[in-house]
Amino acid sequence: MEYFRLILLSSLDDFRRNKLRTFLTSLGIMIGVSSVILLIALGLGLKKYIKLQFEGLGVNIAIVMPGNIFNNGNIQPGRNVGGIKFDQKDVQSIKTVAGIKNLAPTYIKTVAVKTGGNSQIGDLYATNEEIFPMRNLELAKGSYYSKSDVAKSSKKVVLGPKIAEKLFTDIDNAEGKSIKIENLNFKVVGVLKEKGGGGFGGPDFDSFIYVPYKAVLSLNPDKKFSVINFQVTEESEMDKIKKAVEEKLLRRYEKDDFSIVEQEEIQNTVTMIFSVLNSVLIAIGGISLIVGGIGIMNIMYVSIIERYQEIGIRRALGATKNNILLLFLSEAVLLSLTGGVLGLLLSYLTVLIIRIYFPAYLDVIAVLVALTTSSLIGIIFGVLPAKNAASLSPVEAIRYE
Amino acid sequence: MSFLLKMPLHYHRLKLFVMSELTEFKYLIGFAVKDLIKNKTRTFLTSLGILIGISSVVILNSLGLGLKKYIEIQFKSLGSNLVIVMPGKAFSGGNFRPTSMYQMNPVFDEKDIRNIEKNSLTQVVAPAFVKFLEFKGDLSTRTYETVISTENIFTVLNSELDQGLLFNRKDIDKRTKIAVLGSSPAQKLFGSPANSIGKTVKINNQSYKVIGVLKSKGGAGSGIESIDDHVYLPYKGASSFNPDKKFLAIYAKTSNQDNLDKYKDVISNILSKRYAEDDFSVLTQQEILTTFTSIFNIINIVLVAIAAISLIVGGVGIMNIMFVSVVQRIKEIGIRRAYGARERDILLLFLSQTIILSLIGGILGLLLSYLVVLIIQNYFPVYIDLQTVILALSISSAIGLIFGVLPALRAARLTPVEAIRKE
Repeated sequence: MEYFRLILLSSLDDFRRNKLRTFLTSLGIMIGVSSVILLIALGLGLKKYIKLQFEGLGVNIAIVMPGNIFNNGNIQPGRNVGGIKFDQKDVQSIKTVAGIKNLAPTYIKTVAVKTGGNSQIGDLYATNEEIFPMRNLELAKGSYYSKSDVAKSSKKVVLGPKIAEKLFTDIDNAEGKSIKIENLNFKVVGVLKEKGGGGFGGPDFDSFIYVPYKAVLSLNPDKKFSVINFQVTEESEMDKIKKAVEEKLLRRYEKDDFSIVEQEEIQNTVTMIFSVLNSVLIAIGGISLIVGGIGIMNIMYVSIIERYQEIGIRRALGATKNNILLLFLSEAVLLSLTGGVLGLLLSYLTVLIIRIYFPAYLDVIAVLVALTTSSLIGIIFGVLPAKNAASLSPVEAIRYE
Repeated sequence: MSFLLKMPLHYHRLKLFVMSELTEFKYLIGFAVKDLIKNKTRTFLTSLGILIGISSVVILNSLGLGLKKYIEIQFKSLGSNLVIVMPGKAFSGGNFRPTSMYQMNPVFDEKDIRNIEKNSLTQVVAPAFVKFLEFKGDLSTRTYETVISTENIFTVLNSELDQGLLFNRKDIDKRTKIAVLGSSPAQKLFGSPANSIGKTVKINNQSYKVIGVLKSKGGAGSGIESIDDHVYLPYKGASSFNPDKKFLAIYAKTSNQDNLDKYKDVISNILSKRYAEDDFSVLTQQEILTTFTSIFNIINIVLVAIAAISLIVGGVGIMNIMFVSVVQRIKEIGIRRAYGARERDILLLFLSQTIILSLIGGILGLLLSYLVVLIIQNYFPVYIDLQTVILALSISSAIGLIFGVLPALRAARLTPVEAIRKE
């Protein structure tokens, strides 16, 4: 214990003698560690953000889609093209499956929307009234369209807040106004509260234009649905119900023509893609740690040359080769660890700022990663110079000018 | 004081008389190089930092360039006089609209093809229905993107035959069950293109005879799906995979590429008689290409930016070593000043050394990345362009300049008397 205290004191002495050098050397490690840790924190935040996004969109939901886009955790966008479309008959047969709480067959289309002189491109989401409780879509203004509106094919529309803002600049202005979707006149009955998100693989429910699907049959002459959303009452029954739905559909379609994807699977796939991207970024960020390590090695060589005489005297007074090795190695580790701790502090401060905009955070693992990598860098890049110092012959070292 | 004899101190005396800028420059470089050689380990390690930084930036950049080129090869092989008709608006205006993917359903039929064919600007037109199907060959069972079309698809896509035959109008009308394979399925299912001809391939349990294999269009083996992965079936023979006889896309070629914009409008007009304006888009391959490359550009910029952090760390390393060097050469600085060197001369002396150090790292980094690129080129069309070389060299000089200024200033500002007395 006393021995380590002495080594520590000797290192600190040397640092005090060369303040600038110590600062710059650990600065390199600090930059490296903080860039790696920041990337980790952003990755963690992104994961959490995606999770919140998806959870906000309702739980225990599965989506019947054409083709096989989410195949074994891979997104294959090509695989929904040339697939099938679902019709009323499919909806009826899925309806007979027990345990389904909400069922929302949906026709999705990119459309032109107009109000007054303002014209926008929007995403039409033609479905029934069950989508609102299923997706936790709450109203900011007005009302939903009702079940009887769907049956009567009333020309009523509920707007997502983003598209409402684009069309009317303020969502307060939207209610009661009429808008033109392609060539059809609709009345705005409600505007939804903002959900946030979109753009992370999850559907952007804030931008959709919700209408009773029967009201837009002229835009959808085949009377077919792009997807069928359903929500089950009990999470534990999801697998059973998925199987039952699949069996119903297999009577009319082939296995590869459609897929039933749980919301959670989509979330996992999206999360996985971003995790891979994040790991690549962290690895590239880690290159700067190696460069920082080389900086340590360089400075340790310089420091050993300057301290030849000291090494010689220490050896003459009875220090073993191992003592010298340990002395310089611990100095290198200490340098690197200082950088690591400072880097951790810097990234913590940065995370605090980023937090205002994005839920980035640091966990214990990130802290451990920072501390162990910086110590490891010290050891790896300190070992060669330290060995070099230890192998000096005492006589030569003491004589060195 | 033995080092005094080795130093060409007459340089400063010479300067008092006449010395051309070029000679001065030569002297500066000479001193810097001499000092770098004296401290070999230090020089090596310092420039190693920059080397790693530059090569990671350059390699990532060349990967980005390669990816862009790969996509370009894929599209350019289709020819520049081609327009592609797709349902929905997924690619319009250079943006990708994910929700429009739900509109990617086959809507076009034989009537559309006939209408487009009738137009005088049309050279050749082919429809395409695309579906993923399972293929069972001699060696393996795999899923491939299958293009169900007419005999014109090969002309439209500039596909060349490697082995066997292409299917023709007669084959289509006779509803024969035949297939033309891309080079990759031929390899994977039957071992080689030559081996595939005449063989039977089971497609979702129906037997098809392989009559031809296409030439590779390049870029294969990169793991990204390419045109070489496709399989082509005649649309009448394969009608069981496409009972509606509707097509997902239409490829149409005009004879003169100068007319391309006009041709786009012509096709839009033909189709808008039967479909609403928003239900289809008419695109040139350049437009689709732009959408893809803009996405990859963003990812590439982020990667390069993160790699550039290591350059900053390398720069800090240079600064550190230069401060050490200033302290070690403090006596020399004093003597130089005493011999008539001005502050500016000392500044230039140290600054040029830093820049040389950093530039060496930059050049070695470029060489290293060139070697790495040569290896990667076996698998993927990466390359280094002139712009990257210039960028790498100017970045490394800039790093030398930026991180060298402080140590050089410190050296220049030493008072000669104090410096010379320093023990």
